[in-house]
Amino acid sequence: MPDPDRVPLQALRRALSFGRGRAQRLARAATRPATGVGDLEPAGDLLSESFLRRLERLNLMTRGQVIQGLVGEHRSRRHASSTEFADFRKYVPGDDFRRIDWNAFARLDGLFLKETEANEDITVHLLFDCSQSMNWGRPNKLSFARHLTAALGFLALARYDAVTAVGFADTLYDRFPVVRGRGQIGRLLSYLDQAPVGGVTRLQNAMDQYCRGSVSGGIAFLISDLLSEDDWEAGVMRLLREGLDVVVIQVLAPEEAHPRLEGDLELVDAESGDIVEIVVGDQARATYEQRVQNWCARTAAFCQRSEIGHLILETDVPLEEVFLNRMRLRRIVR
Amino acid sequence: MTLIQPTALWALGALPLILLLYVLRPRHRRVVIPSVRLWQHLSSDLEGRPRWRLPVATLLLFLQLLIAAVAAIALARPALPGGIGQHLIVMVDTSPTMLATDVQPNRLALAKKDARQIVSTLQPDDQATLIDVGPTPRIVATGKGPRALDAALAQLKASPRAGDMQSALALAAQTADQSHGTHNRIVILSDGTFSAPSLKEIGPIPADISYQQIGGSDDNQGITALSVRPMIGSTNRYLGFVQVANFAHRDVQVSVQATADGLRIYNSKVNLPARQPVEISLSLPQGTRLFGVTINAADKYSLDNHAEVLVPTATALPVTLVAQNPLPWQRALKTLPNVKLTVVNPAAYKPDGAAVTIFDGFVPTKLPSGNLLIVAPPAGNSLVPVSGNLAATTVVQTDPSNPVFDSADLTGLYVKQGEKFGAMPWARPIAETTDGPIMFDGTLRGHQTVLIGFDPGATDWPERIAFPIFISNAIQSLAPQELPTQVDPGTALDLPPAPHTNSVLVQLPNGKVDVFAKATGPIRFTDTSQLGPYVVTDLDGKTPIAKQEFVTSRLGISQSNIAPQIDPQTLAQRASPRGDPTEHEIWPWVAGGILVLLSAEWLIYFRRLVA
Repeated sequence: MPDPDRVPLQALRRALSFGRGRAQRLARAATRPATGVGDLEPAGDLLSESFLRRLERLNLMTRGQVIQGLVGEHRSRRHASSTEFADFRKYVPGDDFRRIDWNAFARLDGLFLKETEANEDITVHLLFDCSQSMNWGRPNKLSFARHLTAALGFLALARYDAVTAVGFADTLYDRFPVVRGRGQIGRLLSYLDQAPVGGVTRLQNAMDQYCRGSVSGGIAFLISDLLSEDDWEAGVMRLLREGLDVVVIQVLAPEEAHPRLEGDLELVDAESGDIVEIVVGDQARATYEQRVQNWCARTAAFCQRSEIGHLILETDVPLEEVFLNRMRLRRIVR
Repeated sequence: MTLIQPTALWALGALPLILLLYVLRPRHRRVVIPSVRLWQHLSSDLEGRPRWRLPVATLLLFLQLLIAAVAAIALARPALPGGIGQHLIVMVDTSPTMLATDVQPNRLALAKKDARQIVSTLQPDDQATLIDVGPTPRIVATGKGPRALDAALAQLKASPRAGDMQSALALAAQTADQSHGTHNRIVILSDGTFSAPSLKEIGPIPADISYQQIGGSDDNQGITALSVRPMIGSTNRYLGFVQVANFAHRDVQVSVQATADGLRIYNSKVNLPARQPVEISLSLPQGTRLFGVTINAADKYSLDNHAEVLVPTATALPVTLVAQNPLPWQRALKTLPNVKLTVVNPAAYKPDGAAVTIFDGFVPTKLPSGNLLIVAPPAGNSLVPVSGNLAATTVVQTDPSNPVFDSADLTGLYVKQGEKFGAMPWARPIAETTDGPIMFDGTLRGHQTVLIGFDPGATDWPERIAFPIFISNAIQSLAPQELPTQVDPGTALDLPPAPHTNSVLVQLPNGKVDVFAKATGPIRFTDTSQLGPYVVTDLDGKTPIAKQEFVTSRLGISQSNIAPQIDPQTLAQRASPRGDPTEHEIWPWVAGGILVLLSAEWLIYFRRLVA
């Protein structure tokens, strides 16, 4: 009996307008004038059929406690009582002695608890930065963020998890409601495509605003360049305080990390309009790149300290690489 | 190397300007980036930076300085020294005698060849001018370089009449005078069959003049005169007179043939003593229209070996007299030769084809085709407005320039009763009385008209000798004009179209027909370069209404003497200014260098952009 919520891939592909290859689009994007601003592609455009098949086989991993909800197909990092074996661990006072593996006690003469994996229902919160600084780069950071959000959404909906999404800059934009099931992927993509662009990033303010709404726990993916006017770390901490399992995905355009600027320049801040007059040469570029590295290192250190998942992605990294390698390495997916 | 426009080197001032642009802090290129946070305070030397800096030696700066310098030099028009600039004025005689064949193929062809050779020695910047020394000298080509005159020389043809060397030299002098800074040379290529021009009359000619004799033979025998005249005592028999001259310095014998309307009437060998003419008179058959003579001579000039002449025909001039009292008019008209008079009573008058019609005291409602002499028109007629009478008066003044009064003075004529006329825009007064104009002429409804405002029979005018003279003058003035029977080749003729002519055909000696549409005045015909008879036919629609003939003949001693008449030394002079050295400008090459440099700069800049 086929699940009515499971949309055949062919139909999904049609719904998502999968008509063009990524290489072709990337090549086209490379020939555009190098303004670096405003080269957005529809969110579903880069999700190939084979990639979606692979995404279907992935599970999101959570770090924290799942509070409530329906039992979903999501694989949690929290070991729970179920039939699927996960690991053994030594008994400590306070454990439920009913979970002691007596067979192991007979063979090994020690108290061990047999841990099983919990198939849990979680809510996936997709928080993506739509500010003006994201609408820059080649490939465009916002496009990349929308593709990433779409892929994460598909991954979660395919596992019958609840998914919600919202774009933000200094405040939240219209929120995509909590939905469940693969049939909702089209709505999600449409939402992503129509999400507004522009504004100044105030991540703390936006996260405060988000958390004031009904946040029911789960895992929150914060996709942003973290170029926030206010304290973005405070914003992340606010999410943590709401019991969310947070993964920060820091998006960088390749030209942001390794700029090709040279000569007498008037650098204009895309969001604030601030201007810096500068003569860019090899030395200035090297200094800048060092600053970027330091900034990324500080971000990573903060996330490590806060036990937050963290990933730095340059926008020219293929989504397959992101999901199949980098997220697996960071145990964000499995 | 010299600079023709050295003041343009001021443009080198662009070099420090370019440097200044590099010294001053340039306007920054705006680049939008996600955040300037990581770019701030990047380098301490950016803080408090002065508005200037030492220019950085880059390839672009070097190229831009080089382009500016080379452009300034190009503007200064650098030039390499050349020779002295020349202006060569070639005068080629195109008189008919230049067709003499004492040189091969003829004098004109040799002159053209020599001219080409002379011009070919010019440098590319030297100027050359070609003057066609014909009856009306003209500049046919001007240009620069050794091939500037080739095309014009190829087109040069012999003129129908002798060239005017005096005017040609004046034209050359004017041309040379307008050349500045050049060494002027005038080269005359001619057979010298003209009288020596007067250089003094022309005035100073700022040029060296050299004369190049083409040909030089005097070996020519030609027909120098041909005419016909009536035999004494006969009006329809004519004698033909031929003069054949030998211009060679030896006696020769030539064969002379004469024809009358194409039929041979004379063929004989004639001995011609050196440099002497021989005259022959021939009796022409009755009714001969065209008398032609041909000589067969082994000479070097054939254009004068044949000539033709038209025998004049006594053409009657039809004149119609419409008068109640025709006697005074008849007496005067009888004295005029060739007038064929028809007298008609006014009551019986019908328009006819008379060349001239005299209306005395009568004006018809429908006019004839010819011209009109209207005398004392009655009051109330439809043609001329008679507005009243003049009391007894006297003619006080006549127009002396009008041919009707030639030797026919009317002043003092007492007119007992004259007529006053209303406004007549077509008419011009030609005789005045004390009380107003009394005689007019003009063109009335397309008819040449003389109007007399009184009855001559009521005066003593018919008794005066002036009356028949006036009538003769008036008839001659009103009669259709006739063409001359003989003209020189190249002469322009005014063909007077007969009344009601729609078109005029002119048949040339070679059979070609020129067609002229109806014109308001005479038709100017200039295509008379061929020798022989021309037939002019006036057409009314397709119907011939008049026919005239004339003949072109090259007759005369001066037309046939092909021996040089001048001393070349009389034309030689050295009076040209020295001329300035020419310079070969090389700015196009310099400009090409600028383009190369600009391409290099663009390439470097583009590569930097795409890097």
